[in-house]
Amino acid sequence: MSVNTADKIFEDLKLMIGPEAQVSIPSPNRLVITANIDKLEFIANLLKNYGFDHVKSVTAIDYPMKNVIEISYLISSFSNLDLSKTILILKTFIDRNKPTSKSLYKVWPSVEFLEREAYDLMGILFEGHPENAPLILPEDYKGIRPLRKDFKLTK
Amino acid sequence: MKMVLPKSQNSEKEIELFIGPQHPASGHMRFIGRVDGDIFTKFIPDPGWVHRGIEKIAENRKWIQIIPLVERAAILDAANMNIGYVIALEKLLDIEAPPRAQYLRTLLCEINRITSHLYGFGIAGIMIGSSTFYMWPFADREPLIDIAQLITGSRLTYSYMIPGGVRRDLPQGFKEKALKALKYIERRLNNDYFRLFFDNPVTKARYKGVGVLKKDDAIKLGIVGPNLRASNVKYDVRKVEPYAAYSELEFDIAYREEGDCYARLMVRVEEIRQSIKIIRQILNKMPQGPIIHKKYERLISLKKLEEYQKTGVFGLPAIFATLRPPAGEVISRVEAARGELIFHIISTGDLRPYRLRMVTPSFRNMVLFRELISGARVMDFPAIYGSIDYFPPESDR
Repeated sequence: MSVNTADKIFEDLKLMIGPEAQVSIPSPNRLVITANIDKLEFIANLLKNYGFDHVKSVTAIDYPMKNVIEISYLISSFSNLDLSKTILILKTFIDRNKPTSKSLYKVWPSVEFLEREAYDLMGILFEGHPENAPLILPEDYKGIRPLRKDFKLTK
Repeated sequence: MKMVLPKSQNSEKEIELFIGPQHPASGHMRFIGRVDGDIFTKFIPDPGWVHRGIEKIAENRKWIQIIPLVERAAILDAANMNIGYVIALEKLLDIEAPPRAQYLRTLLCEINRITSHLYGFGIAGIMIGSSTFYMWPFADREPLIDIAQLITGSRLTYSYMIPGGVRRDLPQGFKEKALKALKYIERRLNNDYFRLFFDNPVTKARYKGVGVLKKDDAIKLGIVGPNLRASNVKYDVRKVEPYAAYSELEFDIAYREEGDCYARLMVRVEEIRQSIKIIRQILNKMPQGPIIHKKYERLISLKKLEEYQKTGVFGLPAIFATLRPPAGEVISRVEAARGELIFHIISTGDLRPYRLRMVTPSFRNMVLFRELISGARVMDFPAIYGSIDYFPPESDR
């Protein structure tokens, strides 16, 4: 059963999302959907209706060479134990110089602190997030956000 | 960190109440509340006081140097932090530890789960004013820390698991000492703790029906670990995506239906019982064989190999200093004592990871402070805080 679930979800999602985004299985029980920022909320809603009910991580990755920041939402399910065997990675890319993305708070409230952390440490502004405010860094922190690649550690 | 709350409409009646950041319980953490009489109308957690930037430091460390680094997120749960990272790294390297190493890893993880829960009990106890129940669980961690020291040579930060296996084998006479420690913990847990604390009418009055988290809310907020299972969600990574030796061991998922503070504590009690059951099985069916992947065993120098055969301890082969996993993206998840721990690692085939993302269970449970304490009475704050088993250094990273 466990082997087939990821494949079945893969087929279902390909039918559901179709031409809107790319779906792939890079490794067992991991699924990747790469979507354009405009389609993000639409796809998120489809996934939520399919049974994916929470977000585990919002990983922001800085690529200064390509001038983009990648945002990955790691999504899975608590209520459907078949789906919970799979971690789904919803990826999108934003412009590094204009780091604005759309918040998925309305779809999954569990992204609240995760997105706020990405705002804080990577400097991504999430439109539609209830509180784009510092979480971990001091409120008066100025300068390069620490997880950007141009922030260098000094000894 | 957030300095002030937005002004409330009834600001004349309400006053601001600051708690922390000077160590309100188990680490530096601040809360900003607004109280009307003795009801919190608003309650906001304010983390970040022990932020060390583990994710950033990891980008500047060699792969092997990250093992002690990630353990610092939660020192009292070091083995579980350790295994989460090592599993991710092994996925990148495409190797698997031999069976005996898998059992040894599971053994240490379960010992850590018990000590971590005992620590949580102590904090919960002192927070509602039972100083005896602060001392007892803290003292009772000792026998378990002692057997962890027998395995690893270290009391708390073990750095025991390395890619491909573990660093030491069990010493002579370990089984008897471990069984003795388990018997002691079992007796204390099932008799003394219940007589002193869990069956105490004061405890029940403070905990039962307080800070109730409904199942739907727990799922919606993405809560993890015992707090999730106390709200009747039967999600445990050890069952959903078995790692180490968990698929070969028998245990049940501890869960409760009520979702209140008492349920959260009872889930931890049951988890300790299950951990004891797991450790006993491990001691009985531990397979023989190597403790490190043969790819690395071949690289141990002859002199060190002799020492390894004599003492069961081996020094790291030099290859670990220049470890270069192939480029790729991996995600690992493990069930740490406080809940699901996620590692999301991007490798570019370099000496260091390009990006290491670590999502700790306490970070994901932090939202509970706002959800459960807003609307609660001031006196319920310590009860709810204690029951969540929140650990600020783990959350801040």
